[in-house]
Amino acid sequence: MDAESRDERCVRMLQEHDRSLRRLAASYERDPARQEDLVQDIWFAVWRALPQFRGDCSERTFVFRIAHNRGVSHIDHWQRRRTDVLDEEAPIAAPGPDPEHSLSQQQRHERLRRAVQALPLSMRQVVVLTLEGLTNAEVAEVLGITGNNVAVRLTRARAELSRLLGAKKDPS
Amino acid sequence: MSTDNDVDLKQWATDWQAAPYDVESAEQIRLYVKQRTGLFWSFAVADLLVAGIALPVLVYLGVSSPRQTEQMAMLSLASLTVATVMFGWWNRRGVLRSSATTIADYIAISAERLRRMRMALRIGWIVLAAELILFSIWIWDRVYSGARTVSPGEIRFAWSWLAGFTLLGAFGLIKFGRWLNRDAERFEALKRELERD
Repeated sequence: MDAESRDERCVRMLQEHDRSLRRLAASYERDPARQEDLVQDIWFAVWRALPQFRGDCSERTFVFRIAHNRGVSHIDHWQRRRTDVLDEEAPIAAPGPDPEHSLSQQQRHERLRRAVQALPLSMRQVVVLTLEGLTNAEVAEVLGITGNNVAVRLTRARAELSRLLGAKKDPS
Repeated sequence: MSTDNDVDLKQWATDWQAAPYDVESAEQIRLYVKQRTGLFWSFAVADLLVAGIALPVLVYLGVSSPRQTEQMAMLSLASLTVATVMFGWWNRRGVLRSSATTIADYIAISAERLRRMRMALRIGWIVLAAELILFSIWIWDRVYSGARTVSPGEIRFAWSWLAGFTLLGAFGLIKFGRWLNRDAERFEALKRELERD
C-alpha cells in the first residue's frame, strides 16, 4: 500500500466512521477534551494499522476493534490518575423525570448517553457497538468474545438500561 | 427475547445515532492538513535529490564539451534545474507547517497549498517544454552536426529516449493534475461542512 492510497483510505474511513467513533469515545470518556484526544488517538492507531489490514473482516469491524482497544487503554491509563473516567466504578445516573415520548430526540440521546456511560464497562462495550448497528457476530469479533457471551451481556445491558431509563417492563 | 425489547433497542439505536457533533469536520481538516504536510516535505526532498544528481552531471557535460551548442544546451539545462528547485522552495514558503491555532488557519493553509500546487503544475508543464526544446537542440547537434559518424540505431535511440522522457513527464503531470482536482474537491467538501457548522 503506498502512502497516498493509505491516506486516501484513512480519510474515506474517517468520513464513514468518525461520527460512530465520537459516540464510542463519549462512552469511554466524559470530559470533552479527553474525548477529542481519544478520537485522535483512535484515528492515529487506525492509520498506523492500515497497512496490516488484509480484509479478513469488514472495515467497520477493523475500525471498531482498534477503537475498542484504544478505549480500554484509555481507561487503563486515566484510571490511575483520576476518578471521573468512565470505569466500572462511575456513579449511576438518575433517570430523567420526563416521560420518554415527550422528550426531543436530542434530549433522548443525552439521557441515553448518560445511562450508557453509567453501565459497567463489559456491558457498555456490547451495548455501544450494538447501538452503532453491529450484529452480535460483529460485536463478538470486535471484542474477541463468543457470540453467546455477547448475547448474555446484551440482555443484562438492556435490563440495566431499561431500569436506568425508567422503562415500563423488565426485559428478561 | 421480547418484542418490546427489540422495539426499545431500535429506538435507543435511533436516539444514539442522532448525536450532534459539530467538531467532526474540524478534526477532518486537521488530519487533512497533517497528511498534506508529509506530502509537501516529500516533494521538497525529491526536488533536492533530483537536483543533487542531475546538476553535477549537466554542469560537467556543459563545461567539458568542446562543442558550443552542447555547452549551451547542458548549461541551460543546469540553469533550468537550479531555477526549478529555487521555484519549488519559494513556492512552498510558509505552507510546510502542519499546525495552526484556529480552524480558519487550517482552511487558509489548505487553500493556499492547493493554489501553490496548481502553480507548481503550470510551471511543471513549462519546465517540461523547456527541457524538450533543450534536449532536442542537444540531440540535433550530436546527431546531425557531422562532427562524428552516427549510426541509424543511435539516432533512433536518441529520439526514442527523448520521446519516452517527454511522455513520462507529461504522464506524471497529468496524473498529478487529476489528483490535485480530486484533492481540491475533498477540501471544498470539508470547507463547506465547516462553514455550514
